Amino acid sequence: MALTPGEADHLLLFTQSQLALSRRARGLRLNVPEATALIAHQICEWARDGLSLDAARTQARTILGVNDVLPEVPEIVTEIRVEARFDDGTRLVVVAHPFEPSPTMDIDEASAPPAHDYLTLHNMAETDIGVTSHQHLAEVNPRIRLDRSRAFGMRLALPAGDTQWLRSGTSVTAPITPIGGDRIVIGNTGLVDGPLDDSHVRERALRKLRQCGYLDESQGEPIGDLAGANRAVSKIMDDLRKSRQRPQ
Amino acid sequence: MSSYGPRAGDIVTLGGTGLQLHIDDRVDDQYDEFRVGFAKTGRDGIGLKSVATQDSCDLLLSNAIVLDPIDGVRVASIGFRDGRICGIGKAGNPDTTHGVDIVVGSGTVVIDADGLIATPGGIDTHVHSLSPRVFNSLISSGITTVIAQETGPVWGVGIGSRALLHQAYRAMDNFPLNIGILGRGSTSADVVTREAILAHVCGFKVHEDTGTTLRTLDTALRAADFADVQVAVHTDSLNESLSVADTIAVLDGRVVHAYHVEGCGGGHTPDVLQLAGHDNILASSTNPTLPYGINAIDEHLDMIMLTHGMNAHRESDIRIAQARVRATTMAAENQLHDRGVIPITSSDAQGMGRAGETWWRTFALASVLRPDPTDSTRRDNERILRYLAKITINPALAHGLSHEIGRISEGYLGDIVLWQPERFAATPQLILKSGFPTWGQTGDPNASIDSAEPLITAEQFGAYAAAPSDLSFLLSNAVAIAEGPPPTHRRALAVRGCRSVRNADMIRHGESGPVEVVTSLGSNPQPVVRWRGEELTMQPVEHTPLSRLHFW
Repeated sequence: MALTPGEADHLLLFTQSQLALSRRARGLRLNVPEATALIAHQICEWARDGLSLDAARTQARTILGVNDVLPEVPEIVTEIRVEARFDDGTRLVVVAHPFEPSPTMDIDEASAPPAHDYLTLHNMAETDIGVTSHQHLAEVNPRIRLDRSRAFGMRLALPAGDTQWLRSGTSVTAPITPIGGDRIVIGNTGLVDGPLDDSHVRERALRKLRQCGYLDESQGEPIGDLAGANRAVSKIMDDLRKSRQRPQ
Repeated sequence: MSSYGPRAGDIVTLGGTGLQLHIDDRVDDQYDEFRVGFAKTGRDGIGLKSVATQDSCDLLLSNAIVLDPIDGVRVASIGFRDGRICGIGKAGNPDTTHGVDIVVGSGTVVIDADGLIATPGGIDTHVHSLSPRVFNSLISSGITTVIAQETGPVWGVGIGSRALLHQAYRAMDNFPLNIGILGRGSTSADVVTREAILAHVCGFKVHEDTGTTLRTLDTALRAADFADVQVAVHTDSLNESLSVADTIAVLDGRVVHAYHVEGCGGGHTPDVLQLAGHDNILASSTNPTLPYGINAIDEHLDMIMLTHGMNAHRESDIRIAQARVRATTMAAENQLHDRGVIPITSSDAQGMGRAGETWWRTFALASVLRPDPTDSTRRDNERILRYLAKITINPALAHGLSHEIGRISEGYLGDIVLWQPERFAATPQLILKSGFPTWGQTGDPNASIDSAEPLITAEQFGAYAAAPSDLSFLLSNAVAIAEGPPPTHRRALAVRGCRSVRNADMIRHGESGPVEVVTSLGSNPQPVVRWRGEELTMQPVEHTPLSRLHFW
């Protein structure tokens, strides 16, 4: 048979699902491994029959209802993930809340820190850009026009790990909050690389950002152009290269 | 619940046990929750600080529900460095985040434990290692430390032979468990215990099948005092040489660990349970009677026969086996656990117990005895921590390990079990041995994600090649270690404090007072058990939680 390890594992699904079927035939309500195996294996069989992924995923909800399993099972088996061999190859099938007839979408709550201020970000790039919660705003993509002086030392007031998605050519006014902790930014473009509240660090960074062509604004007046912004990172690299050639 | 795991004020239900854990405390990480992944905060210069791992940590478990049997319940991250816990608290980059306890470095790897429960690895102090596969069953259930008594299908109950002990240790190097072996303590001669001490045993076993007499108990206890190790006892079920009061007199205040104190596993008939009420006797239960179920009586007669070299066709053997199976003491044993009198649970694997069931049977008992199961605001924290102590810190204290394992605390070895709350005590999600992923749920090996069915509880990388012995201790004694290195790749850990530990030291236990097993002249096979004036009893349970739900 030349079975591979993954196929050998799938035989365990088959065996366990047969056990589940025979127990179900005796009128028993299924437990965690039985219910999981029965649904996962049936998805694999439907793939073998030539069904599409979407059809198999939809039909998977019809296999077992809440009354077919032990009462605690729906709270434990909240999602079944299995890979099945469809006509176009191996594909991942994920069935959330498999004992419910139609899919429900869980939305997690997450709270954002209070806004300290608001800042408008204009995405001048030809692509969409995402800016995440804890990114130092003064250093974001050169093609975003924002008041980098006001953005210095600040981040978006979003829940941790959330993203503000900026569509190409649009503007968003977003709540912002100061970066916390010791307020030191190391890395990213390397244009800051120091304490945010050190005025020399701040002035040097803002000057370099403008010199390199980062889009900026001051009192609503735009500074820089897209062509300059497109060259900004190359400019940083030029400076980096030069500094490395200097004798130590 | 938020996507960052529970917050203070949330109630987490421990799956099929129905136990309710109230989250009282979470590190102050609101708005700065540490997350790894696409667009998350765990990136260089943001949530990660560019420092070497010696100034941060090797591995981080982020935002787990940490259950420590002493410190209690807290949602926090756990950092590991050089195999040990280096911090518990708020994780992140102090450059950009206030109040960071654990610096996460650019070189640190992260396990996203949001919403998962972290407990210390389980400690099973009563294992008959009659085949190596017993160890697989133990690890798969969340055990990371084992005190064993055999090396294969031999009549062991403690090993006295230096040659066999050394070979056993070398054979066991493949298992990512801290392993110790008990020496044969049932002997009248110091030369026997001395051979075992020098061969790196971590304690002694005195068993009636090899002799529990005044002389053997005293020999083992003197050896134990010499090497600072524990003595595990299975007392005289027949009362042939000693009655329970005599055993207590022979102990003379010296500490022992009384295995299967209820007595169906062996011990003075029918009143061995009395031992649980003494300050110098650390009592434990084995798992088949936890909780006391409707079929417990019926299975035990055969179990006793088959594990003790008895003949089911001899009336003599049947009679003495039957005397060990008592409904009243099984019921009382369960209640003594709930009242904080019996401080330890163990398996008695393949010697009348089941290797893979100590976690779930311990918490099934906690579930069965909880008051008012329908109260949705009931607070089970103290109950959960009391039962957690039975399988972590208390066996560690009893066997001189509590300075290294049994807790989630800074400086302790990084032996941790992660559980999904819905599957708590049934199937571990991931086991870290010395801060390294070693065992847990592994998915279809060809799949595009790591969690595709069939999920199988199996080896992780810590279980391969030289890793198990690098990550695990040999539990030994200070006398042997001073004489020379152990015959294994493992680091040797000298157990300590075994002779001074007392019942009163048992965490969330140590409730004192005599356990009275009421006997009187005339046959009394089902004695009443009283404690603090109360008769301890319960009806056998028809359904043991977790069992039918998770295992086929």
